[in-house]
This record gives sequence, C-alpha cells and structure tokens, in this order.
Amino acid sequence: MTVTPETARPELLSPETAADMETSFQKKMVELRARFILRTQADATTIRTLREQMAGNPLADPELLKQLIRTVHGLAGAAGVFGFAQISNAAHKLEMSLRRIDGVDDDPNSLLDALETELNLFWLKSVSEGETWVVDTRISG
Amino acid sequence: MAKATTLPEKTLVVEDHELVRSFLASWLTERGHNVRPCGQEDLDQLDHLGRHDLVILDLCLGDSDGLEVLQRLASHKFAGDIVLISAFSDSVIETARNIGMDFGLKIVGALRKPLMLEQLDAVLDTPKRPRPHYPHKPVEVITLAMALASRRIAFHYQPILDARTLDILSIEMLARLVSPSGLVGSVYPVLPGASTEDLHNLARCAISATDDLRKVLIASGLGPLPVSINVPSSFVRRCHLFSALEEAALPVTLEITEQDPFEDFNEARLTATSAILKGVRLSLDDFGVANSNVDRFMRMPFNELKVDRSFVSGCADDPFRAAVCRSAAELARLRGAVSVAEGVETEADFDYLRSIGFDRVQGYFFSRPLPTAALVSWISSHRGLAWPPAAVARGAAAAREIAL
Repeated sequence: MTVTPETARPELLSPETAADMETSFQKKMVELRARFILRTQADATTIRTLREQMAGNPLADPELLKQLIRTVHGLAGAAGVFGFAQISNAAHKLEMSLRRIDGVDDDPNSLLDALETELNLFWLKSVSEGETWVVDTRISG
Repeated sequence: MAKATTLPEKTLVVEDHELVRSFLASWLTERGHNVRPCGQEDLDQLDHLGRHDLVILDLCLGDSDGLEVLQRLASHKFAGDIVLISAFSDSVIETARNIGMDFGLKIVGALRKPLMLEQLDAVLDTPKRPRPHYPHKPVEVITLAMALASRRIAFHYQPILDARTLDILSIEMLARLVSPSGLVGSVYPVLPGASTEDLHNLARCAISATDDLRKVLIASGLGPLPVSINVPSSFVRRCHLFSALEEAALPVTLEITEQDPFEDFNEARLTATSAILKGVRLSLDDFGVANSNVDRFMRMPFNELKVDRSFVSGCADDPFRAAVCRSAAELARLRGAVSVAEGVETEADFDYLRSIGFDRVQGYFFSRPLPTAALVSWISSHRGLAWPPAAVARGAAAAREIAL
C-alpha cells in the first residue's frame, strides 16, 4: 500500500478506545495528537513545496531556508513531546544541518529524504496501528 | 493528577508552536497549574508577571529568541522561576542559563528537547525553599587597605585531604572581612578595587598569621600542618617573596591566583624556582580560569595543579567538566605535580574525582572554611574517625585496603 498524507487520517484512531478515556485531560491529549497528525501532513506538504522551489540546493535561498528551518524546527519539537522520537530525531538532525551547526558532513538532501521516510512510516503506522497510539497518549505521573 | 507541591500563581508557557504550547498547557493544567499559553504574538504578558509566577520558555521562538525574552523579564526585574527548554545542544542551553542568571533571573531548570515530561516533572516538583528575607542594611563602603589597617581581616581554614585515605594534608587559609559588629563575611567585595600593594599586604598578613595558627595547633596537641596561602602573580618577585616567607611559621604552599599576569615572567620563574629549592611549594590555583592556564603550568615548576571549582562542581554529571578534570589530572601527572580538586560538594563528584586519580580534594563535602576553634575541633574529630560520614568512610577504608 502506498501511504500518502491523504490516506493517513486522524479519524483512523480507534474511537472506541478514545471513548474509554476517562478524563478530559486524556481526551484533550487524543485531540492534540490527532491535530498533530494533521499538522505533520501540512508540514510535509510545506517541506515538499520548499524542496521543489529550492531545486536541490536547500542552502541557496536564505528566505526559503528560513521557512524550511522554521517548519522542521516545529516538527522536531512537536514530534518529541507527542512521543514520536524517530520523526523528532530526523527533523532535529535536519534542522541542525540546515543551521550548519553540526558541520558540513551532513547532506541536507539526504536528511530531507530521511525525514520524509520517517513521515511515511509514521502515516503507515497511523493506518495499521492507530489504537496503539491512543493507548500511548496516557501520560504517566 | 496535581501534585502536592506549592504551585506558582500562574504559569506562562512561552512556545511558538501552537500544538506544543497546547500540549504543555494541558499537561500543566492537569497538574494544577494556572496556565497562560503565550505565543510570539502574546509576549506582552511577560510584562505583567509577579514573583510567584513561573515561566516555561522555549529558547527558539521563530523570529525572536528566548534570550530576548530573558532580557525583557530582567528589565521588569521578574523574580519568579524560569524553566528553559530548547532543541539546541547542552552547551547552548547551559550558556543561555548562565546568561539568564547573570541578568539576575532565577533559572530553576534547563531542559533539552525532545522534552521528557519526567524531567519537567522533576524540575517542577523540586521543593522550593522560601527566599530568606534580609532586612535592608546600609552597605558599608570599605577598601582592602582600610580593612587591613583596622585589623578587620581574619582567616578561616579549609582542610585539604588525601583523596584516597582522607588524611589531612594541609589547610588553605582564606581571608575573611570582619564587620564592625563582629560578623565575618567574604573578602571578595573588597578585592576588585584593591591595589597591587594592598594585595601583597594581604598575602603578608596571611603569612604572618601562620604563627598564631601554629601555636593553636600545637597547644591543641594536633601538631603543625602545612598551609596554603593565596598570592597574586605579581607577588612572585624576589623583592616581595623571600622577606615575607621569613615570617612563615608553618610549611607553606603558595597558591598563585589567576587574576593577574606575571609582571616579569623571567624574574617570576627565577623567583619561583628559587622558592621551591628553599622548600616552598608552589600551586597553580584556579586552573582553567583567566591566567591559570596550560602555558603557565608548562613554563613554571609548579608542585601542584589546583583545578578551579567551576569545573569540579558537577563533574560527575557533566561530560565537559569531567573531561576538564580528567585532562587536568593527566597534565599534573605528566609534570610530576599533585592534582587538587577544590569545590568538591557532593559524594558523586568526590567519587568521580577519586576514580580518575585526583590526589587531593577540598570542599564543602568535607568541611567548609572554619574559624580556628572550629578547625581544631574538626581535625580532632576527623582523626578520631567520628567523621566522615559512613559512605566516605567506607570509600576510604576500601582505598586503604587497596593501598595495602
């Protein structure tokens, strides 16, 4: 199955499991996580559009680069707090590369590819394992 | 569930990502916080905070950055707690934390993204000690010269211990300023404006005071102990040093401080070497800071390398500080010098320093600087093994077994 942002819908999160959530806090977490999934779709679209405009050289246009960094930075932070470490790490590594903090060895294009791969895996999981996510939203403490 | 801790009156979540902001707001609300989400467009909220409020601040805020927020909070003399979060490296976060503290802000935590909620929980659950209320007192204007002339300089003593056996090897003499009412405080406020001559006089005063200390130690049945005395680099000249050392009643280690460069390096080297040949020990104090650097250590025959407390404190948990300490210990070994860690405040740091081969340790974990009578009491109980605490004693016992 080819996974695209459009096929990975937040409503695939198990509604039955969500209904079992007892507190408004847990419901809020479910809602926020669903919004996060939608947001990843928007971010992915933004990143893809920017890549097309950048024509293979992410560092060439300062304004486009700034937009890309902003999008990737937000994705890294949000994925982290929602518990998606792989996306967060891939986005963070890309962000540091785009900011040229981790040196010139990291190729931004390959890191962009890696981030898109992580997002694809994420959406694939959203189709096949949505229930697990809902259970994961229970925050300890 | 909300925790049974003292909560801030309100908690401002300053974060540019709307979803992260909402997430943190919900999470904190669940814990009983009165949350005010604050995006880039709401930064005016920063101007209306009180001393019982909490700010959770993302250092990366899109077009602006967290340091601007810290400056803004400082301009309003914000006295509440601040927790920093950032995706940048630990060194960036730590530096931002130090900048904030230099602004006079109270940074109670600095966390790296991806944010671990357990870490945030731990920071927020740390018991807050009530701030002591000091009645306003007029600040006394006094110089080092005035303090010396009016005999308002006293000395406190901090033991320096063998890192393996915990035997007392020497005592550092630390100058204290005595107020007209008899209160004893740090001498640091009068040092920045002091002249070179005043600093030399302070060193002479310390050397002279060894006579009193010697008498007390002998009268108490403890026997003489070597002392360490701080002297500025400019004191290491033949015309200053040798006449002053004639007053020394105990074996002396001169700790050359980091503030000033040698006025004449060749003369300083000649004088220092000559002093060593006469039996004086020479220590490079505050290693790693200002003029106390590798170059100085390499070019002068120091007997001792004393690592600055800023690298020692927290070395067990901080890889960078740990690396500095390891390097310093190795440098000392390569030069045949003794390595000393000052500012040891925790058992974890002590264990680490001992594991990497530090020779001597000094700090609040063992004893704070003490007035004479308290020093005598401390040495007596230390030698009688009423001290140290069990954990340290176990470590020392194990070390002795290894040594045997």
